[in-house]
Amino acid sequence: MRNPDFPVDASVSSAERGDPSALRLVLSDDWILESQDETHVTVANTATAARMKLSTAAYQFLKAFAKPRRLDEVVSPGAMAGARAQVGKLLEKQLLLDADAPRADRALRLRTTVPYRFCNAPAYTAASDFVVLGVPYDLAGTVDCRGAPTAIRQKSLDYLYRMRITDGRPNGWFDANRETWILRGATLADAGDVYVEYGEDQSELFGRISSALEELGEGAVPVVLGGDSSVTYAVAAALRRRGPLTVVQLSAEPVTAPASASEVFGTDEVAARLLQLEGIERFVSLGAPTTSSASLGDRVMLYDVPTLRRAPLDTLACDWGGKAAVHLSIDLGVTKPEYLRTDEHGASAGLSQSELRSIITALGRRHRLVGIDLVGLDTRSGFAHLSAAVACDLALTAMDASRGHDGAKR
Amino acid sequence: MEWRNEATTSSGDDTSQSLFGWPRAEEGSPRARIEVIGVPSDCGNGGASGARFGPEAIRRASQSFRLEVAGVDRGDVEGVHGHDWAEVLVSAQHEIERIVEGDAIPIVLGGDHSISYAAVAALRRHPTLNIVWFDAHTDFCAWSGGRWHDHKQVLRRIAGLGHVGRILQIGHRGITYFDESARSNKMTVMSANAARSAPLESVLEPLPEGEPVYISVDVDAIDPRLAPGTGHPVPGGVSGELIEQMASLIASRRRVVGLDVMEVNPLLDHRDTTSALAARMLAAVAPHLAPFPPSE
Repeated sequence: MRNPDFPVDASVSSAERGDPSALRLVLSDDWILESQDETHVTVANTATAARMKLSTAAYQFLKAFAKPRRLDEVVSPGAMAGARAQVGKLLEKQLLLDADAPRADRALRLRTTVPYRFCNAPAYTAASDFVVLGVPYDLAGTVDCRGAPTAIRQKSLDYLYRMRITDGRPNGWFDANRETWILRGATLADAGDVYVEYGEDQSELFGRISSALEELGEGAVPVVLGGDSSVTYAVAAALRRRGPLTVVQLSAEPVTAPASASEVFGTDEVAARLLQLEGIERFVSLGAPTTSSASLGDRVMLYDVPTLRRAPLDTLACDWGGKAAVHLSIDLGVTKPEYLRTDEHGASAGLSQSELRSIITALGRRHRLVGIDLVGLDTRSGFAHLSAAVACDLALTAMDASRGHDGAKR
Repeated sequence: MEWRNEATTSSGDDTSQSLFGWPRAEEGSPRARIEVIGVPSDCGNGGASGARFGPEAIRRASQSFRLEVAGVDRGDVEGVHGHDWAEVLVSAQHEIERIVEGDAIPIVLGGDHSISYAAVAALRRHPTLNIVWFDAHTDFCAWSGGRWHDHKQVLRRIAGLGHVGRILQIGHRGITYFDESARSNKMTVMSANAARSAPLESVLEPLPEGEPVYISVDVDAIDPRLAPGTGHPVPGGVSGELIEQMASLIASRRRVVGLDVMEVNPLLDHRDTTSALAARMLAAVAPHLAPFPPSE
């Protein structure tokens, strides 16, 4: 089995291609003509999302490479210098390719643009405190959640990311429940979705998730919108390379089945698979309605709802040390009506919204939240719109918790 | 614009059901102490469509209740779908004014929450009208001052009406752009957390005795796990039972001159639980409306 957090190969840079006039050049199979007017066209590579605006003359030049040709077969010697520069850009965008080089057997595209950005934050271009990344993948389980990143982002437009008029810094939001400002000054960007090619090997996608997170840098807290809970595995596998990592999952249905022998694993194996990775210190599951009989060793800790209600989380968290680096995964299955319905005493089988928020806040006080994911939103459920609202609320709560109890930036 | 009297139709389908099985009003027929009007509109909700089916769903859900208190159902305001929103607001206001002029107490079934403006405006005969606004949101977004508004701006516009006195907003919660509790000197905000923990009688404190009250219930005040059928759910709401108790207490201790239930969206509901909660709340409050004369 291929290492699932092995980075995808970066595309070859133009500098490595050498002098383009020595190559036989050909148009990429993935190019499209996106738009055209009287003077210009826009062409794009659908595999990489690269775009170029070209003059009509440059477009005619590009089309000359429909079949493999050398540059001197297309332009006169006097125009060669200008043509070399143009070809360099087209090679850079992978609209033109070296016809004799081995072809990539898969798309090199890491991320795709999305119709809505989380909270309408700017598209990711530079370092920010939080970077949102969607992973619309749901082939490891039975829940239909590939549309969840879009559903959550669309709902997040109720929580627009705004700047203060006075200083141009992020305004944050007002948490009416706690009557306090959150995320003031915290910068947020949306890096779109990881490109998912349905049918490819699972490990290929997980490698791409790792590469995307690496590309976004270590300075930001990633906020990953799944996808099913196998996405948690891919994200934690990438984050553990930054240091020892505890994975905490808020879930009504702990993913603690033993690891199977299969290369492809299901959502219920996430804990067992994670603990096979070096650098994952423990897996903590919070919020099952009743005690699980699962036994995966002393590095898996399960706290069910009655236990959490008896003992404050600050006490429980002592069991696994202070200031651990924590990746927090929120399985949105916790929003299922059967877990939230209350009995005659007003108690729900699962954690209430208020309890979920309290636990997340307490985690942030005691530990360092270095990554956040939200997985398992069932878009076919009649409650999908509610789950998306809960997801936005908990995502912002978790982001605030990652800044520590005093709201200071880490 | 005319009354649409479903009782004159013979379709026999659910749309012909009246609230609580009350008689349908014929033009010129005797008036009742409580009169129902539906405004099946989505015009003020830019985010989610479906509240226009709210009046029909609430009436259907109300069939399991039979009340001692007398009322009539005047059907729905006509022309909602064939007119601009500003015209619909004016028409709804006129229809509600006809109810008020007959010394009846209007129960308005929405529809999106922006409609409540028409009801409050129609009650301008009261020199000081206090408002109780059950809602997850404060509905105090900026309003440019035109002829229409949306459901996020409606309370700001209502607060600007000359006859509106105090406003008690109950159920506010969630993550917002600013501290919405400080948007108006007229407004007291009781958050969802505060509503759960405060003594029930505390809802009476901002409402001076002797002054009339209008109660508006946006079902999104209720926790969405209990009332999922609404367009802008916010996690962490109060129970439907608490709203029933609060509204009933207010109606029994203060002179309530109008009541509405808004933002029931059957397209987003689960097994009609939200419309059932709306009907149940109306059934709990309606008997408390009758003892007080609707006007002085």
